[in-house]
Amino acid sequence: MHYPWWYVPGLTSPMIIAVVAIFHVIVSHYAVGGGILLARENAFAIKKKENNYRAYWKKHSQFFVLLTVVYGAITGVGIWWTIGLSSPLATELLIRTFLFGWAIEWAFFVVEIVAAFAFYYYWDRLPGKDHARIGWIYALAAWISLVLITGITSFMLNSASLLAPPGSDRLESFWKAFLNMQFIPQTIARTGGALVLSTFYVYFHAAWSEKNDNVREKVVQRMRLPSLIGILLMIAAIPLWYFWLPQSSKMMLESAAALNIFLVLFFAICGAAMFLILIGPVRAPKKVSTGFAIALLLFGFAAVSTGEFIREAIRKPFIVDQLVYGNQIQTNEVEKIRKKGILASGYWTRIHMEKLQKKYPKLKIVESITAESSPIVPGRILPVQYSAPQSGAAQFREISNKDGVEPIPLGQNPVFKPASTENGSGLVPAAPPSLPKAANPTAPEKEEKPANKASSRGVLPIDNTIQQGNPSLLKISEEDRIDLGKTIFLYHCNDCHSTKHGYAAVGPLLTGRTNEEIRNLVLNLNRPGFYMPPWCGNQVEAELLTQYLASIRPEIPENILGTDKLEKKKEDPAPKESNPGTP
Amino acid sequence: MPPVDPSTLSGIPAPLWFIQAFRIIGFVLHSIPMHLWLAGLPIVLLLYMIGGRNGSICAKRLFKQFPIIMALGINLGVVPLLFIQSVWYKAFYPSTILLAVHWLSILFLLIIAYYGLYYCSFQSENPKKRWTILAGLGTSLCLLAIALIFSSVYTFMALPSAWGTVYEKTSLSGAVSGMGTYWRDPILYVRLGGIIGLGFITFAFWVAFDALVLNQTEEEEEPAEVEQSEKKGSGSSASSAPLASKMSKKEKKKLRKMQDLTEEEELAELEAMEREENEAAAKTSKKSAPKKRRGYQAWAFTLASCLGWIGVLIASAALWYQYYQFLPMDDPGLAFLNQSPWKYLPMAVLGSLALPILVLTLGSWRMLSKKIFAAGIILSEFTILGLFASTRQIIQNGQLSGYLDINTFGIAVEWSPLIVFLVVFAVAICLIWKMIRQMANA
Repeated sequence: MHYPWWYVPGLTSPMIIAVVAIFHVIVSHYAVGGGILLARENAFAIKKKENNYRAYWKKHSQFFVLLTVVYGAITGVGIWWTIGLSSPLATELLIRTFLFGWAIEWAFFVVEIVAAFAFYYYWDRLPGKDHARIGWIYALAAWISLVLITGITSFMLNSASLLAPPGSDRLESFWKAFLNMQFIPQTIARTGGALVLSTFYVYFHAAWSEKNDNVREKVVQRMRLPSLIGILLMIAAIPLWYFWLPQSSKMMLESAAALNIFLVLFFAICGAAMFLILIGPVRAPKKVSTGFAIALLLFGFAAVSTGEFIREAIRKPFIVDQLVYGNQIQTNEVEKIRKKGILASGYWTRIHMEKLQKKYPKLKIVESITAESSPIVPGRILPVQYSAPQSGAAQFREISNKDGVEPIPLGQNPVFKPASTENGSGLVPAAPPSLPKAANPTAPEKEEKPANKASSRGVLPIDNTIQQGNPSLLKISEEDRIDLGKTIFLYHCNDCHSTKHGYAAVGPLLTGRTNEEIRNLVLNLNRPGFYMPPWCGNQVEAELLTQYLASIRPEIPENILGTDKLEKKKEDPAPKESNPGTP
Repeated sequence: MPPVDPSTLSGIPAPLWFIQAFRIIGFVLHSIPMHLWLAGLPIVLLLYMIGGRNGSICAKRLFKQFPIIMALGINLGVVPLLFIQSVWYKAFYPSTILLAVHWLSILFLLIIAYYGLYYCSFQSENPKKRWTILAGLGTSLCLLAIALIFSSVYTFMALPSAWGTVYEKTSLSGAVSGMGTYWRDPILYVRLGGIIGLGFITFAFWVAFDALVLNQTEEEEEPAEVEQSEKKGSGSSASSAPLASKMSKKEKKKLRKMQDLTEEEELAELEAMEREENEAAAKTSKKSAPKKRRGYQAWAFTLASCLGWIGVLIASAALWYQYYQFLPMDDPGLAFLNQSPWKYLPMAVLGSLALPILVLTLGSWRMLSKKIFAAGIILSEFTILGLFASTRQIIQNGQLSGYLDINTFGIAVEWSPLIVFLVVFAVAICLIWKMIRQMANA
């Protein structure tokens, strides 16, 4: 809506965030927990004058720096990259709210980097006490950066504040937003997880690189206590985390089959990892082989990955709880967008419709938009006038064509004007399909339960804030209607759903549904499924989306019994009463 | 529960001048390591391959420093990125989304480049140089590609007039494929040229700084040359070897003449000869040990001066062309600058390019003490980059002003997190300074 939508076929662009984030967290938790372990063990070795033992940790610090400073730092920056590409509105809101949280985290990052290099490169050159102190400086800085980022990510899951009563303005202050309901359990859980995962890295590195059996055994033995502490922290935090989830998130955990499986997997993996810790490092530290350690590490990765996936998925339909939906629409914009429609409300969708206006000059596809009528908040980039560029340098640039945009003179408010519609395209629009009858806007809103019919999914009344929409859009060709429907899908649904194939593809979900059922589903998107955002368009747009979805709806599989008895309705039957709004 | 209106926090959480200042400061700090790896790495590779003894010393030192420089550079790059997104998000996000695939490719290139640097660092002492050189070349190319992409994205960001074309080319039913490119605008290559020129200057400063300040202790740890100088008999100031054993043929001939002298004259002559010999030995001893330390230093200063001149020439040409030739007079950025009190900034940027020449020349002539030279380098570097970044910011504000007037944004300052940040920032600087001092004393 506010930004162009990046379409990634098959995967959806927010899943790019998930991929990069998973690769990041499996190392970033090691950056924190491993820093604590390094500081602790180095201090221990210095105190006890155990040179062989300390020599191992010197080797480990090289491995640590190579992995965390390089890969961990770059993937962390990678998350910045991807959230700006896939979730720009949410990122905008978070940066506005937590600008100085991130700035503080950055300051600690710098301390981390310097401390990490000092710790590694000056291992043998600094006096023992100074070296140990630098190790602890690194560990503390790393942990604080974990705390800071957790405050931000936990706000996205539950934006209610610890400092304010429920329902109050959660954006009133940085501290209210930062100290949210999920902050404490997630911080504890992540600290525990960081410790446990780091011990897995240590088991692996020791098994793989340390030839001295005694040293290796000592390393494994000394990692038992941090593992145990980490496990206890996670056991303490997870119930708190669940208790302080928003209600919708709790319900999602119960109702979504995929999340049921992930939850079971998470506990099973954690249980398996704990069992491996018991039979390996605890009971037989000498026998922790490289293969055993790799298995333990992979279990750790799997636990982190499933845990993070669950945390992200239960946030639906929001990307920032109560504030921004996953489709980059603010919660308080829904009614405004419904008034104008999705296509007319978005700057980038309007540009797309502008092309269509040229094709159908006799139809009113897109209205003239003024700065005042635009739902976009002033101060943001406003629509600009399209005309040929005139400046000298521009002749070398991509804008040196008729589709270029001329910059607006300083100090003037830009006004959007559609391109010339003098030349008619001569197209005869197809007969538009009829629209369902809207609920009486003057009647009081009633809560209607779905019809109790075995073969029916129920017909819900349409929300009375959903407008009729621009009927001209139904007069264009079928191909263009489907294309517009795809536009609506991409901007409204593609954040979570692929199209015909791919991640959470919508196509297969529509198998067997009639067009009427699809339209009804669209108009009541969040009623049967609370984890879906509300429909933000109008009825015409619902019809366009329906036509697109019908075009990607596959046939019922042949091997499903009884399909020959099902009536395949390819077109909607004409309604008995004509809709006064339809031409 | 009714939805909360997020527009309650529509204001920017800090004064605009604060955010712009920190964006500029962040960019300046990020630029220093960025210049080192962009302009410095190819030069280091050249030195490693064909630089001779001193070139090899320089290259190996820098190979070991580059991973740290890279880490700091990436970290310091977070600051301008954060502050760009706090105010200029309406320009930043659309432009990066339109060029999404190229923007994202930076991550992969950076990982490859970073590990390539580490490989060079670990393998620099290996006499088989081939793989180190290949890794270094690959890393250089990756870093150059990253620089090109950044130049492309940030040029595109400040040019909303060009977005429509890229959008049209990459539109998929109104969404975008992210496969947009913006390579044809020559200004981005001019900008990159300016950055490379400034990179040469930064690298020149670094070579001189490293040779004078950081390398001092390392030279004293190389006993081989001092031993050689002793073997050659150049003499040490502490030498107490008898004069006769060191007498040259000339001196012996002189001595024979003394046979014709009286006893007193002979004694006076011997004392004079002794004095001459002592003075000669003292002079030689002064020259021998410091001559070996200054061997690398002198070479480094020569290199730094050459690089400084090259950098000044490239940067001058690129920046002059950018400010006065390429951007048309009706470019909104330039118009904005010329109407503001900052209209002399481009001239100041070009004028500041004389500073490296001055500092490096005085340094190579040994006219500055170490501390003053180091201070001169730091001051020059921050002056040039600060002026450059400020000019760039003002021009960019002007280019965007027709589309995004940042002065119309509401400001809703929350002082407590801002103060906490400043306090943490100050504490972080103190901690870092303390750690650096500990390392220096180690």
